[in-house]
Amino acid sequence: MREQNIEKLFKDTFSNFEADVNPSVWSNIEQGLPASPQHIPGSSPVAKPSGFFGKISLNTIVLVAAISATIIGTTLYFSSQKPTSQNILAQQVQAQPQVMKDNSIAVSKAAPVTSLSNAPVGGSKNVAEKQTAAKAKEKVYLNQPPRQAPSEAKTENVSNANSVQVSVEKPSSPEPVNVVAPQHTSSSLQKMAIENNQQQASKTSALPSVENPVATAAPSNKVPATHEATPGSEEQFHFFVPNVFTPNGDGLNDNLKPVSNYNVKEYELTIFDRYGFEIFKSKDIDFSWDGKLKNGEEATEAVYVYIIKLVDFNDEEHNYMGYVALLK
Amino acid sequence: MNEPVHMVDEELIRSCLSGDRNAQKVLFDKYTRRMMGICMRYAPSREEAEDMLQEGWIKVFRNLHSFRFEGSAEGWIKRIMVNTCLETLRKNKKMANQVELDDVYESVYTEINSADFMSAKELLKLIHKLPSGYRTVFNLFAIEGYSHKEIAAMLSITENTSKSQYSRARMHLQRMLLLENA
Repeated sequence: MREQNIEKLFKDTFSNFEADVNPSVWSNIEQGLPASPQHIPGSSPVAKPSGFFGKISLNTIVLVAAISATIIGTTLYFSSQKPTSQNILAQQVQAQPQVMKDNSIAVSKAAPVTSLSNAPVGGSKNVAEKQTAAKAKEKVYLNQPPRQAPSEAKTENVSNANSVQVSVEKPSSPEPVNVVAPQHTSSSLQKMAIENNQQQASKTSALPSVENPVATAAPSNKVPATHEATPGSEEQFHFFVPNVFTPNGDGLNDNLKPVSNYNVKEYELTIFDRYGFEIFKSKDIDFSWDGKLKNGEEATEAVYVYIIKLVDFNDEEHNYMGYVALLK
Repeated sequence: MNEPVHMVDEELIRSCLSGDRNAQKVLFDKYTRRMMGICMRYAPSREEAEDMLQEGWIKVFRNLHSFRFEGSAEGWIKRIMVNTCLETLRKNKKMANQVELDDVYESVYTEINSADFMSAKELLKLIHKLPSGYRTVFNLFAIEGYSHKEIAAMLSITENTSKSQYSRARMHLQRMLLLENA
């Protein structure tokens, strides 16, 4: 008899059963997958930062490193040499009165002299010396504690000093950059430091991300353009009520939502069961029926009647009546 | 015989893991028809089978890194497919324990061609006529070869439910086949 063979029959038939696949499935899957990570490895030519960004990031990293070194150097120096620093400053002021007209000149002149950065700071102080020597001394003292917030004039000086230092002290260590630099520098410098951090981070994690901002920025700029191209200007009022909905909580068609192409001014939806009892009423088009009775219980799977009265944007009245099937 | 196949799969999967879209496509093309066959058995309709297939493949590619290159790739993919099918069915609340519709049977006997030899397509038709719960258990037990204990755990039903669902499904198919060949 066949009885014993049913399993065999089905198993034999289906163990290698194949079925045609709609070609669209693959494209759907492709969309569901994360973007192809083929370009991630650093060996890829695409990953090489393009000239401008590459230079910027390199330069800025060096810059931040130099800034931090300068700040540490100055604070260390002045904290260890409180009594003599004033004299040194005064000497330097006399020795180089015209240096600070151009920072780059200051650099080239100051650089050979100093290994630990007191001269550039002194040089930057020259700007401040246009005020008074006494004030300059005060500032020197104020700069001693690393965490003291500097005033406007002082921050300018410091930033000058920093930018001066940059090209001088390239090989200093980049470690303390993130901690020290933002506290001492003016806002523009902070921005640079932040940029640096980002670029450093991106450089260490994945090279192509330097380029990514460009790549992602381009499509996002294009998106609004496509949206602008849809100004529908038909004056006809359309209204649509689905004839089925499925309040089973799966997020799809859980509510009975009539759709209109224009806002309605007045709206009234009433739902009746097959015995003519009113089971739902709404005066807001956005307050749609969720398939529940007035007592909160779920309505059974059945066909219900709706009556909708509304006034459209042209003050025209419409009445709709129809049937809607509730499925779960 | 199986060795070279596995080797090929292994290479394929490694390139899939490195994010090679083409390798993914090759893997997909290689097994998708068979996987569609599985989904067709579980899903009540072709559309739903395609949804399951799609969902299943996405899971395969997302979890490819957890494939340990021990068993066959096909078996691994197949298991993911079956689990996806079960999950989808559960989500759609068309699961085994909800089905107790003895009245549905009558409609089942129509439109089957009488022939001794039955093609997979026709058998599939019969399977589709089973209530969803019976179909699931029958698939898992008779074709996939899981035990009732495993099925009970997979569907969170009792072992006895699995057994009774299976015997009902079997009885059902048998009646259809007999009627078919009468």
